[in-house]
Amino acid sequence: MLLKIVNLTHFFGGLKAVDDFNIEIGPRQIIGLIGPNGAGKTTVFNLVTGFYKPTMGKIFFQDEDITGLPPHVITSKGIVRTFQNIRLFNNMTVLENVTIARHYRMQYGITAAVGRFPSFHREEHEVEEKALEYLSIFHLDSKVHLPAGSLPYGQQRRLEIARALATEPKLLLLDEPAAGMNNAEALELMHLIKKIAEEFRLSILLIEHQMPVVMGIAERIHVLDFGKTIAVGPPEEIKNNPKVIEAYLGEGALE
Amino acid sequence: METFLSQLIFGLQRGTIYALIALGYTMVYGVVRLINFAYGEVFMIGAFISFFLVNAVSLPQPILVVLALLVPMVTCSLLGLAMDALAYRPLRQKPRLAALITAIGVSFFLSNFVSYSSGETVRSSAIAAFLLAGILLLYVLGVKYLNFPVKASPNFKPMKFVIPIVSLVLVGYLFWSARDLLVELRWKGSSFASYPVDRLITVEKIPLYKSVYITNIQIMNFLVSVILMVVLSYLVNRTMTGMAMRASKNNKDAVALMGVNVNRVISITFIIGTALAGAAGVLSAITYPRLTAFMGVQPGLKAFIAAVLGGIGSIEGAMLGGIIMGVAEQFAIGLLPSSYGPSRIDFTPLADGVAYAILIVVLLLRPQGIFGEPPREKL
Amino acid sequence: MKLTTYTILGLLTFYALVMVTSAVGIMNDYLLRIINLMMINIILGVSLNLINGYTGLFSVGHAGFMIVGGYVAGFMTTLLFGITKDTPYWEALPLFLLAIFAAACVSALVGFLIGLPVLRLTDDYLAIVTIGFGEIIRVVFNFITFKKKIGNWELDIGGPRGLLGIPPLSNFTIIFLFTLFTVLFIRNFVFSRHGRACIAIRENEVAAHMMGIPITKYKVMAFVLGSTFAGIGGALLAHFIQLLHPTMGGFMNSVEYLIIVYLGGMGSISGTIVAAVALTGLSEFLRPIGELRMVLYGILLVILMLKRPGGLMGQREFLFLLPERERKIYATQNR
Repeated sequence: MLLKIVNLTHFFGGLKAVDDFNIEIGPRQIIGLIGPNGAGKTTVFNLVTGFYKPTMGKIFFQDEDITGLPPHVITSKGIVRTFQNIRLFNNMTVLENVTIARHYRMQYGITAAVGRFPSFHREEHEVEEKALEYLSIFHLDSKVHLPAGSLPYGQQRRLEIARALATEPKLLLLDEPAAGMNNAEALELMHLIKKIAEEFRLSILLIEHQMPVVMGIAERIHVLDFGKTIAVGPPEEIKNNPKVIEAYLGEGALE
Repeated sequence: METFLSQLIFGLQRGTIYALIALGYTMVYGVVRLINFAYGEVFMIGAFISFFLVNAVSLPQPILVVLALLVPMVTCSLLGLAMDALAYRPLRQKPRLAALITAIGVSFFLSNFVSYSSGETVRSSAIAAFLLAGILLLYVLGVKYLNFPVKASPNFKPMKFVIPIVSLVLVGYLFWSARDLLVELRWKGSSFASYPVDRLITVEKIPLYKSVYITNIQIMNFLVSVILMVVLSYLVNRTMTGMAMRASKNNKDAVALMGVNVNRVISITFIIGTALAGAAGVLSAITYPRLTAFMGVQPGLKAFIAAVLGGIGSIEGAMLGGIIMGVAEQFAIGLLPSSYGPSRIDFTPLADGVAYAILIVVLLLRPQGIFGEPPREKL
Repeated sequence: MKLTTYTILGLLTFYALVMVTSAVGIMNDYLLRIINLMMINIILGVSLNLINGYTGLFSVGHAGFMIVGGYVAGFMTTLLFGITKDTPYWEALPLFLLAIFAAACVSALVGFLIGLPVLRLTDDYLAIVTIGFGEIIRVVFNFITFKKKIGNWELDIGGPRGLLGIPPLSNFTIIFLFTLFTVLFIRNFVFSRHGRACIAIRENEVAAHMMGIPITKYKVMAFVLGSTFAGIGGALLAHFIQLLHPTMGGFMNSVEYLIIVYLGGMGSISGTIVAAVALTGLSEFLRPIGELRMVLYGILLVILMLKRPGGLMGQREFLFLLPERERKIYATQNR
């Protein structure tokens, strides 16, 4: 098992945001996480990546207990995420955005940086090449020296995923990657996600509101409502599950 | 026991002053997440305005006491309004750091302005302060009611000018009538102006228990603070504006969507906070009648620490934090050996450091303060 | 490569020009004094920019760290080593360098002790704690008035009177070299993975954390480095103006450095240098109007934030200040 979450529960004050959440993700699986607004999906992400400390429950990654570790340690273990609202380093260049992701894989210390030692030049050179590789996968190589904040929305989304991949994760958490995109764009993104999952041998946990996206690529879907898991199963089953339809009623998200 | 009790009384008095300033910090922080560093300067300006007033007019003591408190409060709240409109409101959508830097700039400007203009004579300072207040006020009023510099607003209501103009004229008259009186009162550089307490109130000691006594100044101090805090609680908990204020703490956007004018709520918060700071300035001036342009720096900082101690954003916290701070500081002054003691080393200057020691302890043990909720990172 | 050569030549020319003109007597002491003060302000401004500009923290206590460095170095040269005006310069120099080193270490330590607990909290707290720190410094140095005889030395750092009679060991050469060192150090730091980490924290703390950057470590690192150079600046300043006073570490002085940083541009070394030179020159020029300068500073800060929050230079750098790689990128972008 790559990721195993057992009885995860989280309170905000008196509010139970996540209630007894369990999931198992194996290697190279794409799992969907859906649910109405406020169901606790993003909270699960925040718990897994260490931004929140869970009230109860355990999170195991590759059989190692990672519950309550700080985010940067969790990243170095191989879990990385994107954000629902894009969080790029807007005033830094596209290239720098990706090199930041390689930061924890670089070795040279402050002395080497200040003295411009050979190790500094070597590693900086390496990281630049590596970063360009990732950028070319996402067709961003013509924009490398532009400030990230100046890119159009769709490219910012892609850059965020490229940046996440550059940490070389084993598990990628995508928080509504297709938000704000039209159907065609979303489907294109879906193919891209599928491609990178195969190419980089990744597992992906995906939060998504656009149902065609998640139904098309996830092999299993977890449905949350008010923090509780109300259904687990393959897409076809979820589509016809009365509980799920009830939870979504009025939202019109399920066609 | 006796020293304990009398130190406690002094400490409580000190504490209520801190609490009044801390309320301003905490209320504004709660609504706009801004540390308005300039409250210490408002405190100073409140004290000075009261100083001018008391020197300028001769009225029976009870009336003068009321005026000496109310006029600075009104002027200070106008100053708060101007501060918000000129310096902070344009930055509301910008990063919080920009507003924080601006707050430092405002505080720096106010204290140095008074210091500079008081360099020559009190009169020049009075005229300068009057001019400054007048210009700021006219500008704000112009922007607010006449859409200055664009064009006149169709729903222009001249009546709204009455109170500000009357108070402006009143303050102007006070400064004017005070001019001859004040020429003699020079203070320059390190020296200071003495607040004429005896024109306001004749100090009397009222014995309480053995050698423990309470002065009528202290009683007045407590009374005024309690009244102000009760009025404040009423405003915050019982009125629509107060409700909007409390709601804005949680979600400003949602409040705006409910049709509440959030800018107005923020302005009112500033008005209340600065009025309280002005009142604190007057109370402090009566108790410690040494006025300098930088008298507000220390109380301002300590009051902020008091607000942090109580839990920034929490009104009860600011009251309690201020009182704890005052009492702790008073006890430090009382307990630290002075140069008259056996060691012959004067430790009392260290009492000034008590506030910062408290700050460090709070930050280490409970950064959210006594009543504060632990910060929740919004992702 | 060419620009680098020109830069080095330019610096050498500047150095030679000042040395020659002051030796011949064309450059009077007053002018030389202003140049030295400008360079010390560059050290303090650039180091504060690392904290406030690049890392996006808000320290309001830079003068506090400066004065700590000043007191440590001043205490060592004046009281511990007993250096006076009449000590031969070459005898005093190694001890002075040692004192500067000690000043840097103590400032770094103080920065670490303050930074570690506070930087885990939100940014507002750093502002208030650093202001408080300036006050604590004042209280402490006001309080320490002890006189103690150890052998021939009488220890006394002056209390509220201040530390007087510090030997004038900071000359143009020393200040010039340290300014160069500071600017080069901070530039090379900023244009490295460490500097990038700091900038990423400023740009988006949450995302930086997620990208594997230990944010507390880098915040503390930037804060400590900034404080260290503030300590060096303080040591140089103390041996230049030859006196120290507890109030010099206070809020007022810190605001002057803030203005240098925000006027020049948050995250621009070039801007800080321009602003340090301009403001030091301006404040000498404005000396006749005395305290009004402070009033103007307050207004300046507010207007800057309202009208030009990026400062003069924004985040841009002069080409000659950029490392070669960044210079090339710049060239490809602006062809």
